Amino acid sequence: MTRRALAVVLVWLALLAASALVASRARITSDFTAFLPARLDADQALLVHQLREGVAARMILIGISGAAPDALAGASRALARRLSVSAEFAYVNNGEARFGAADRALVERWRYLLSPAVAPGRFSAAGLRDSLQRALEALASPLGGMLAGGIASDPTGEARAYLESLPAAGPDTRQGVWFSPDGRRALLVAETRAAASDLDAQARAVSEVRSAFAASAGAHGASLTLSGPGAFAVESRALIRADAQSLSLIAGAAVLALLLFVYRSVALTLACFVPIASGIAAGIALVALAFGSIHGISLGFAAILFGEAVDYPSYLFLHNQPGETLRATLARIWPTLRLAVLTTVLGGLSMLLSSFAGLAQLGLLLMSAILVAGLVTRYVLPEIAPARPVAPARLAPLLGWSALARHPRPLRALAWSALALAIAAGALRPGALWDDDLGKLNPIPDAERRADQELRAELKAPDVGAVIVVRAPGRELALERSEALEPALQRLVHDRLIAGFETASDILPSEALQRARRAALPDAPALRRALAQAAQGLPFRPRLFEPFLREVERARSGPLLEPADLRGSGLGLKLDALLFPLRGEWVALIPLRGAGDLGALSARFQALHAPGAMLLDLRRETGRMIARYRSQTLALTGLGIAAMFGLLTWGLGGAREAARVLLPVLLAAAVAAGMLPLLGSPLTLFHLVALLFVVGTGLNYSLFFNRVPRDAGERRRTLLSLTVCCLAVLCSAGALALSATPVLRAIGLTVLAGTPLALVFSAAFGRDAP
Amino acid sequence: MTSLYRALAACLLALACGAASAQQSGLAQVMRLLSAVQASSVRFSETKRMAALSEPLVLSGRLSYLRGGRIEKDVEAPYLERTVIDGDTMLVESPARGESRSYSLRASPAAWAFAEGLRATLGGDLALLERYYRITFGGSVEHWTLELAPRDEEMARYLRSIEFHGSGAQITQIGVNEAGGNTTVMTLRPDGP
Repeated sequence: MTRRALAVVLVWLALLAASALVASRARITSDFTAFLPARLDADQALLVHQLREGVAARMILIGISGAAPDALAGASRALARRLSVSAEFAYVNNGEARFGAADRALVERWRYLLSPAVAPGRFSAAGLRDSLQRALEALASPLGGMLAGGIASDPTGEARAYLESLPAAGPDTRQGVWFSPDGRRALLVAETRAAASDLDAQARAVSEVRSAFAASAGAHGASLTLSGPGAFAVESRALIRADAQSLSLIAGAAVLALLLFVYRSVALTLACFVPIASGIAAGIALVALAFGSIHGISLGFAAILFGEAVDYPSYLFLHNQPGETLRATLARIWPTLRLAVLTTVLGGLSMLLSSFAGLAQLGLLLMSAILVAGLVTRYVLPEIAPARPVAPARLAPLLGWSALARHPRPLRALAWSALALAIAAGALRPGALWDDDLGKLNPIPDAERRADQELRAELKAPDVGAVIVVRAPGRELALERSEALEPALQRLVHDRLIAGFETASDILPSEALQRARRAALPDAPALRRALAQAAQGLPFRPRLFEPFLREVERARSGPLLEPADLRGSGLGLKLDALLFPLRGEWVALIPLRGAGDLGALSARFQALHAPGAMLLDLRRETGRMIARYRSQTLALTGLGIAAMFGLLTWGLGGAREAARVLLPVLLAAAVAAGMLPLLGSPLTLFHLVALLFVVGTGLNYSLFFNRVPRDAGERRRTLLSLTVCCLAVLCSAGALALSATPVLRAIGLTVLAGTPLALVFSAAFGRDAP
Repeated sequence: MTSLYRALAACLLALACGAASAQQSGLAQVMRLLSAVQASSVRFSETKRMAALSEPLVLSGRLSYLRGGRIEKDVEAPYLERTVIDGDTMLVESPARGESRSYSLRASPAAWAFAEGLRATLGGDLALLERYYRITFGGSVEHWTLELAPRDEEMARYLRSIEFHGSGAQITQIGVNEAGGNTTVMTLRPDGP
């Protein structure tokens, strides 16, 4: 080994060690909102805030089923007790008390400012007479003692009027706890303190629910159902991690077996892994450094790189002829190999430019891994690997497919008609072509999604989907605008466009509304007179209502309700979720329940022309955002291909040559893209990424097929090397196609379809068709 | 037929059970008689003595029972009010105001136990009654009293006891003693002309 070679190997080892160190410490995420763009306008910021931090996103929905109702109710109580003392949860409810003791005390204390029934006339002699008559009847009714407690201090029933004015009394209650309508499932909700995007905290919360349940209810034979965005995110992280790990192993093992079969040499086989192992280590390290963490999806994508990057050493080893050093072989094939590496790197570059963070990660990983693998093949492999030429004759059966390419004319015709068919398919069903639902990226099985929808409906919990956002420069204005919307929202409920809604102003009325209610309270002498007049002829004990007189006076002369008064209560917590400052303005949210026809709802809402208010359909907005990034990616892909064309023109010395190389590959990618929607999987952003990968690998094939061989032996070796490379890609893409994660499966399937097409088309269109 | 049946049943039961469990057998007998009632409708007069009131409140009207657990109480004086307990809901209507409210009885264990206690007694369902109450039976089949004390602590916070007085399958008086000292005595008499 020369000194220069020694230096190269040492530098490589040092870089490999450094990147392995960084890569092994990289934090793995699986938060799908991480795939959302980094630069946001105000609407998008709100959207992402809702997806990550919103109260609906922090809610864990819990169902307990599979035992007798008594046992379920007992398990629900035990679980609620355990969770309510846990530090992970801000709020736990199983229906035992819709509001905690602190909330009840708050409502008692502030009832005259909170109750929607407080209005002029309510405390006149006539108004009070009506209230007292009702109070008497309530007192005399069966269960009167239970229903009409607190008559002395609250004869007009303001506390109850307020609590009943709050939306959706929640699920059905049996034996004092929430149950599904069929009575088979006890229901609870738990709100985590941590944001939904804090997956470690979500994981702790989920495992706490499970262990609390196991400790309290395991004996009854009941089973637990958990759902909600946080619980899903935790589960999908586990699934993606397991997927990425096992798929990398399967892909690696399959490629290993293939290479052992081809080379019959452990040394050559291991040497094949050297460039890609270096490349992936460097790629993961770079992504971790640039983005702070690496997404599980990117890691899964690395598995497919195994397939592509073992190509480079394979070209080297399989072109190696008897009596030739590896360096001499490289001298022959490097110009072609160099173009192959650089075109793939260009493909990665176009992804790196995407403002879609997830794609940029994949792009960086792809680019750096391929570039490093190419460099290691060129400079390191010849120094460390033995020259052991492979006899092509032994592997002749592998080359059987090339008989196909002996008939280039029909094959070309076939390629063009497949393209026409693919275009027609895309044109006939444009709707089926693209799918921009971010949720579909999630590996959560459909059955669990359905379970989530059921639980959500049974709990009458707000949908994650629809929310009205009210914005204003200040808090009071935000509250006033939210209050002004209420009559219109009531009409929407009446017209069954929504089932219900919650507003921040229910919990904290605007100062203006609080003042108006205070103004409706008479002063002490006037109230005493009106009360005496109202009670005439009714059998109430004299001086029974002294507490009432005191408390009205206290509310009349006391302070207004402030957010600080609500701190530490369930109501306060709800308020924080519904009213918050964001980017210098105040946001009041109105989550909608049971919004079925979002189109009609949106039309009605637009017609209101409510100032500062907009209807946010989270699902459609994320879809729209993804669609924007998809078109951007499409444009970038176009640019990438143009750049590849430029590079090929330079490398091959002419645009004609470049077009000849590029054409079959683009045809293969287009046909693959047309096939996928026909096979029932609409295209997503990630299919685009996979297609870019197909173009990258396909160009390798096409480049080598267009290279003029010295003799028949070299032609045979070229054919063999391309066949082996294609098989290696199929091994790794096949593993990915088995994935439970839709994104990884999409990438695997696309590559599985596109790569063999690229090989066959390249052979059919190549200058040196076999 | 019923009186003959009643007499026969009484004799048979007395013979079978013996004197040692006379109380047991009396309870069982009364429950059996009550369970045979398909429907009944009686007039009631109810006197409520409550801490919040300076004088007793007297209500009168009609109480109807339909086998299966539907109980309807129609207050006719001094105001109009209709209360229907059926399944797991209680409906309270005020015809004068044109208002009605519905409560879920299952929402509160105490309310549920109260409703089940009424239904179980009117329907003669001893097993159901024993789930919610400790039962003390006194007197004879001709003049019996049934005192129910809630087993559930939550319910005991509201209710001290319910007392039924009756004669054969006829309930003549229902008394409710609330934990706060409020009492209700409801006297029932068959529909007269």
